[in-house]
Amino acid sequence: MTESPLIERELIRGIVEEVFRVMLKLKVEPAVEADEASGTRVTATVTLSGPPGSVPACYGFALEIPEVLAFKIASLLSPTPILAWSSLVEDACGEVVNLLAGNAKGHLTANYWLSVPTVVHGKDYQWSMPKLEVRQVERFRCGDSLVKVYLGEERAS
Amino acid sequence: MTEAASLIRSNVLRGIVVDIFRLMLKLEVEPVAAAPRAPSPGTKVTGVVSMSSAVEDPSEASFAVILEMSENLAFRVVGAMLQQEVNSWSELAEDACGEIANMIAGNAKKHLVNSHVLSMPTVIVGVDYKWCLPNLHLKQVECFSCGGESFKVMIGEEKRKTA
Repeated sequence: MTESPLIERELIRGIVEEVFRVMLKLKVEPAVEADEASGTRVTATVTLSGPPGSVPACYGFALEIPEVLAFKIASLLSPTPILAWSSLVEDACGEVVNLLAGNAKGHLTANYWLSVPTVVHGKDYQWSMPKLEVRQVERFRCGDSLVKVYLGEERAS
Repeated sequence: MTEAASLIRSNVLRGIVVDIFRLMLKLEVEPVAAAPRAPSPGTKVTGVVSMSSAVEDPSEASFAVILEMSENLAFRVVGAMLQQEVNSWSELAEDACGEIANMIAGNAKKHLVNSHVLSMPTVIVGVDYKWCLPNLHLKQVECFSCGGESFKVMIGEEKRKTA
C-alpha cells in the first residue's frame, strides 16, 4: 500500500460516519487497532470507471463487515428483524457500499461511473481486485464490530 | 431460464468463450447443456466484471459478466497463460482469472451496448462463500467443459432504475 491516501483521512471518516448515522442511525468511530475479522463476514465492492483514456481508469472501493453487523444494518432498513442471510441483507450491504462510494466520488472525480455492487458472504474466502493498488484502508468500530473500508485506484498498465 | 431471456445469443456468447480459451490459452472448451444441479465441492474461483453506463441517463441499465470455475481449472488457466505449471493460489492467479473475465466481458459488451465502461475485475477464491450482485437480474448462464472440469459464464442486467 502506498503512503498517500486517495482521500484525506478526515474526509473519508466523515463520509463513513455520516452514512452510518444518517442512513442507519448507527454510530461508528475510527478504530486504531487492526483486529482481523474472524467468522462469517461480508465484503461489498464497487468500482468507479472513467471514460476511455482517463487516468486512473478506475477507482475501487470495498466495505468489509462481520455478518452480525450486516444483519443489524438490514434490520434497520427493514420493518422486521433479520436474523438470517437473505436478499434483504445482500441489498442492504450493496446499498451501503454504493452510498459510501457515491459520496467519496465527489472527492475523487466527477465524471466516473459507479458499477453495480458485488456482495460476497462466507466464512472462508479471499477477495481481490487484481488491478487495484490499495491506497487506503480505514478502520472503524460499530459497537463490537470492526468495519473496514478500502480505497484504491487501478494501476497503470 | 429461457433462451428468450438471454441478453446475447447463446451461440455468440459460447463462441466468445471458446475463442478466448482457444486463442489466448490454447485450451479446448466445449459448451455443455446444463450446469450440475449442486455446486461442486472444493475451492472455487469467481471473477466479476461489470459494465456501467457512461451517460447520466437513469434508464441506461448496467450489465455484469461473471465467470465461475473450480480452483483446479483456474490453475490450469493460469498455467496456460504463464506457460508453466501452477499448483497454488497467488497474485498471478488472481490476475489471470481477472483478465479472462475482463476479456469475456469486453467481447460480450460489443453485443450488448456500446456506451458502457468496464469495471476492474473482482476475483473471489474460497471454499465457503456466496456472491451476489444485488441490483442485477441474472439473465443468462452458459456452461462449458474444459478437460473434464465444468465452468460457467453468467450475464446479468441491472434492474431498471426509476427516473
